[in-house]
Amino acid sequence: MNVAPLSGRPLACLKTSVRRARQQKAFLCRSMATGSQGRASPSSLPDYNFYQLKDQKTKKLRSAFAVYTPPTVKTNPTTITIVNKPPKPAKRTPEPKLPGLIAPPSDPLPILHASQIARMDPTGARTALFAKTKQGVRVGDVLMVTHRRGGEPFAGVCISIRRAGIDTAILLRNHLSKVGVEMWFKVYNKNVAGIEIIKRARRRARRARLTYLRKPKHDVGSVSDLVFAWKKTRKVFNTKSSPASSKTAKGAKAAKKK
Amino acid sequence: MPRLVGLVFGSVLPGTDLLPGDRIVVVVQKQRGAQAEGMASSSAANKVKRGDIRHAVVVRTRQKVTRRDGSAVRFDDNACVLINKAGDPVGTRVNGVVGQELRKKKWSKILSMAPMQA
Repeated sequence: MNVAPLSGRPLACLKTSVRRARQQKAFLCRSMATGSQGRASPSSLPDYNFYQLKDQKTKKLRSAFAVYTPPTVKTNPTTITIVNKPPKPAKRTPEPKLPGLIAPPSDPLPILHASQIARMDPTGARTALFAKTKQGVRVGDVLMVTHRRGGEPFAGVCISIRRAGIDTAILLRNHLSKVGVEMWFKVYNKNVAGIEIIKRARRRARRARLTYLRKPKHDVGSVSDLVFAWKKTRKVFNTKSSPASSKTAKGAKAAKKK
Repeated sequence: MPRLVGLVFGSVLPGTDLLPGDRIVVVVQKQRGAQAEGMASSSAANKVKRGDIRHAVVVRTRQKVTRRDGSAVRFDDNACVLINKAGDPVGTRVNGVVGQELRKKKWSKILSMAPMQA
């Protein structure tokens, strides 16, 4: 078969092109088997260090990279790697011990949570309020949450406390104009200006989550009368001259507008 | 179930993905006046009939709605308020709390009619 006229359009004749491909196969493999050889020799790499790339205009740090000790690759020049497959990853050497680099802790998440909580709750009041202690809030207590964005403070029975580090949240249930309303609040949210205990549960609940309070049989209903009574008791401690000045530590935290 | 005083209806709500403030289309299933509330409902009674297809605004959902600061609200029922084409509520009163999401979606008329927001 005459190959020459088809060389310009190799796809025109499948048989011819396949034959050509077969002929070139060995050559192609050898010519492109540069995967293992392309690696620069260790001497040509920059020194192993931490490099900063500064932006020309703003003179601020734009990016950075670090050069670690080059991994020792056992290159075998006789083996020819297949073209399409990437070269096998070299064995990882143990992490280089750079000065100032500390190995990450085995479980970094609790540390992250602790640092976040320290930032969001510097006094530790919120942590103490929801700690698993006798003084802490337990499910069944009636709480009132004051929001920094204004609006009415939301009071309700604490149905559940989801303890999850910085994500710790409480679920309050109340009836507003005869409609049951449940609200989740993040304890460490800065928008939550104050959380106050209106009424303690009489007994320790034997459940972690009082979801049965949603059933009509067990529903507590509106807690507005409890809140009203609680507000009345608080007024006892206020002096007539400056009703806003005398506040307990928790009351000051709440920073109530009323 | 839309809560309109002056008129109270049953209706169909499509099941999912509704937030307070969403505009939906409802079919009025039950029509009854609100004489019990002491309303003069003679004029309002003929505003909406059973079988009507109306626009409405969702004001409460059983589905938990998360807000931007991580807090979430969940009501015990689904509720909507019927509106006309211009977006004004058909009824004259709104029963029960409404979600604060209405404020973001600019349903200020419904908000002003509602007794409470949550």
